[in-house]
Amino acid sequence: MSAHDDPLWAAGTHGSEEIQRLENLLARYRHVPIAAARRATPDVPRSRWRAPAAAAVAMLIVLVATAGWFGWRLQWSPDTPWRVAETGSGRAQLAVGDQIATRADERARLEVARIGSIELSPRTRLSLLQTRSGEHRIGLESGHIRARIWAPPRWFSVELKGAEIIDLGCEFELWVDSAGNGRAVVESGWIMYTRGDQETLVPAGHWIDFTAGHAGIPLRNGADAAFRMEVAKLDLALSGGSVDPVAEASVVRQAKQSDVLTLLTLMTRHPRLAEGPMYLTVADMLSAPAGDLQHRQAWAQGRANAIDEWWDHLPRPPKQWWRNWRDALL
Amino acid sequence: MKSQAAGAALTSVRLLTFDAVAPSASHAVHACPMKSPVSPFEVARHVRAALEGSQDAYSWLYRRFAPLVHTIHLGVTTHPTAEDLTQETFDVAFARLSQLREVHQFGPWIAAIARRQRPRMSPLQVPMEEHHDAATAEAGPDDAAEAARVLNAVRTLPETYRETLLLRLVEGMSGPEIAALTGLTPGSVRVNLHRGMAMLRAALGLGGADDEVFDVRA
Repeated sequence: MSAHDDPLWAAGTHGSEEIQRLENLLARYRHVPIAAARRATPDVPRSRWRAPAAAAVAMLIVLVATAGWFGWRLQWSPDTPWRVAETGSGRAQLAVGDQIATRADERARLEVARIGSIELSPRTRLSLLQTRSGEHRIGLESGHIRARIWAPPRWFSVELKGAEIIDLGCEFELWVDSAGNGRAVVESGWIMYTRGDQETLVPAGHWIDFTAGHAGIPLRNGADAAFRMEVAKLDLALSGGSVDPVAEASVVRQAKQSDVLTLLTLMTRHPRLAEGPMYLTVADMLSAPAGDLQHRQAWAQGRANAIDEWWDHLPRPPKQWWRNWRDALL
Repeated sequence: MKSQAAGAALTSVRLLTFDAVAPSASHAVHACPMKSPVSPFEVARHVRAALEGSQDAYSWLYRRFAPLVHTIHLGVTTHPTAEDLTQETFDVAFARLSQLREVHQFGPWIAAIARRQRPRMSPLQVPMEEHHDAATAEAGPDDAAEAARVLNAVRTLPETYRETLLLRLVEGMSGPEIAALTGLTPGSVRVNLHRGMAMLRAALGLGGADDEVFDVRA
């Protein structure tokens, strides 16, 4: 094969459908250039006191500016319309009660007051239900959105059929079909999926599938297919009131350290699992004392303080939303 | 839980649509036009100009070499982190530009800087397992998952094959472009591409690995 005919060597040569397919799939990870490169600071000699003094002044200015910017960013008068911008040049506004729907060849971008933005993919339909400082709410009927929010927990939420996704300061993607089935994938921070009294936390690097009547268990990105199936099987069995010791043992056996969130959620939703081997596995993963019978018993009885004690072992709980500051750089 | 009555209380529903929308750049699969390979003379000229303070030269170096730096990071961390690390790498490189002796070797030099940088990850984030990054409605969750699976498979390859293959499959570069950016010989790039592709096929459970090796030998 000559270099000219080689589809690997000469990009754009349509000689291999497989390479073309891989290229199409992976193009989503392509580098997105910023507007301009940063240049190096000239290497100018400075006196000993000048740099610390300048740094202190700069820090003070930054602190004052940040405080002002932060307050301005969070403030939003009730029912003020959101700005809508297409990826081209057109602009519009979305008021409370308005619905926006993109056609098959359209995309759109919504500014969520001043706390973030939502990108709408083609064939997406959503409504603005409420907007004011501290409470911005949309309803997603169908389609796909990517939301990037940097604000205190619960300032932004998405209403679905019989459920709600509450932003806890993060970036996430959401697919929903007209029947209310879908998936939420969290890129940074946390979300909370709520259905009635049931609350399910989903952190960065995890996703959750849901149907109109049931919320799945959050899974780590890249979790093995076999593990995913066993988790779903166990959750459905326990939700239906039956016990599946085979699935329980299989989940415990296949779980990796990075699946700790999945196991914690399973045990939180079905406290009786604390009586089995899952408790010891999670204790080991969290470096928590496994022999604390009082704690184990309290968990099996569904006591919140026992459950919270282990959730607090997680490295970045939702309350530390400000650490996802990159989501503010829109 | 907030009241869902608000949803039913919508009194007037206006439908907003747009006349024409250009696809998002980050989702455009074939948005990367073929460039001519960068020549060592061009690189040297722009490095010298940058050292003399030319902002345009800095921008040129960034535009040309950012994909190379980005793929090095993408091979070991998630897409958003790779973007951040790309900026950090250029910050470091531009601050040390005066230390670059062979000015036409900017590509290999900044690649070495990038390889020394390691991402800082939270234990809950799994650096080698990317998922659903930048999905679209056309490419739904399953396509996004498939893309993540392929990317994760590329990440398991040895560094040499991984970086060359990512430049080809993610950045859409041709063999000559990759050779010019990395400082590798065209022969090495071609070997890396084919061996990397063979390993990727094996990792993904696809056939054709032997064909790739045969192609390289031919």
